[in-house]
Amino acid sequence: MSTAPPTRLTAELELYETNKHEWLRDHRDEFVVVKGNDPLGFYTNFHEAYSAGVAEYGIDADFLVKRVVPQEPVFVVF
Amino acid sequence: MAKHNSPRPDPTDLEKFGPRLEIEVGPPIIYDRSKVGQHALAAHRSSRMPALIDTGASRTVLTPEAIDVLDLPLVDYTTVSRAGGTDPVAVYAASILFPRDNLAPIELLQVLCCELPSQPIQCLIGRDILSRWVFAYNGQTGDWSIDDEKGLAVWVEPPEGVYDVFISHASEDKSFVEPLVSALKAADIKVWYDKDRMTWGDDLRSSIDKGLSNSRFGIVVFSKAFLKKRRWTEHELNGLFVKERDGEKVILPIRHGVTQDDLAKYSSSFVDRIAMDSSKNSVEEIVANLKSLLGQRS
Repeated sequence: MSTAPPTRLTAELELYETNKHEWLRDHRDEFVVVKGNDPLGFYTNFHEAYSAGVAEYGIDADFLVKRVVPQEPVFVVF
Repeated sequence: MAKHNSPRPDPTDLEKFGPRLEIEVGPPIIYDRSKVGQHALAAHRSSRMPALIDTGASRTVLTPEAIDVLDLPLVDYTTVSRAGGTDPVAVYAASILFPRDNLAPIELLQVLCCELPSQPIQCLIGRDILSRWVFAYNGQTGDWSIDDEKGLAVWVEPPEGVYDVFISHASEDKSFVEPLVSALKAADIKVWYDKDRMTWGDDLRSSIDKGLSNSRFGIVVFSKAFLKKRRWTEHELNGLFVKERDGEKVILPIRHGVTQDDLAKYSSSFVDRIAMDSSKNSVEEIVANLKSLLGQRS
């Protein structure tokens, strides 16, 4: 599960990659919320972004909440 | 900063097992702004588990098994670097509560989904949560403490089974209980008893839970005052009854100014339970009885 390639949110991740360059220009470091092929909006922090997604899509729905950054972070776990 | 130190039989426990605390993990707690007051948008399903505080983890981690059980919402994918290399991992939204201490709940955070091979735990508390706390680790004494942003809570985890006996009583009976505690301690019996905490409140409840879960036996001093204080004494008794599910008797009742009939009326579980009686049995006899029980089960 943890090391498998993404099987959910694939359409959302594709949309993010397609628009990343443009979004970096206008929304760098903000959090974008995407469900399906529609970006819901951009938010200044994760809490605001996730809450907006829940308000729009419901508490049980999967939706992408991704920070718009030029290089994806790598998190260290030892 | 408040400071609390618990007795610890072996300071190397911290070195062996690391700083662990009990957490309650569930989906994010999001409130419905359209309603007056705070109404969570969904019922909070959750699971309690031990968590290891890991300063080597930049983010908080849950195992796939824990995430599957909780059915957490997926929000992203990212990359994790570990000793074996880098892996793509899923990111979920979650909440983390601290049921056994007074730390502020974390109603929404991102957790990484990673296998934790060779570790008997399902959660690593990473530096994302540590950034909210003052965390103190004293390897010399085997103690550790947390102080959160509210400045309210510090908890030092006692290792499992550290106390021989937990004492449940009403504060009105301290003239009987305090000499009993002194006699138990003089007999090298480790006692969970704190006269300063015997007023009801959240702090007390978490203290009682810690005492119950870390004690082998529970002495319950049944008195008229105790039987009136159903609110907190029932909580303690329920905790002790949970410990008896495997058939082993851990509740040691002492009648203090009440009859066996009073006890049976309070709880049918005590109808056939032999109780010591403070008017007939001396403190020395009670201590000797407990000492004998501890010897039998050690």
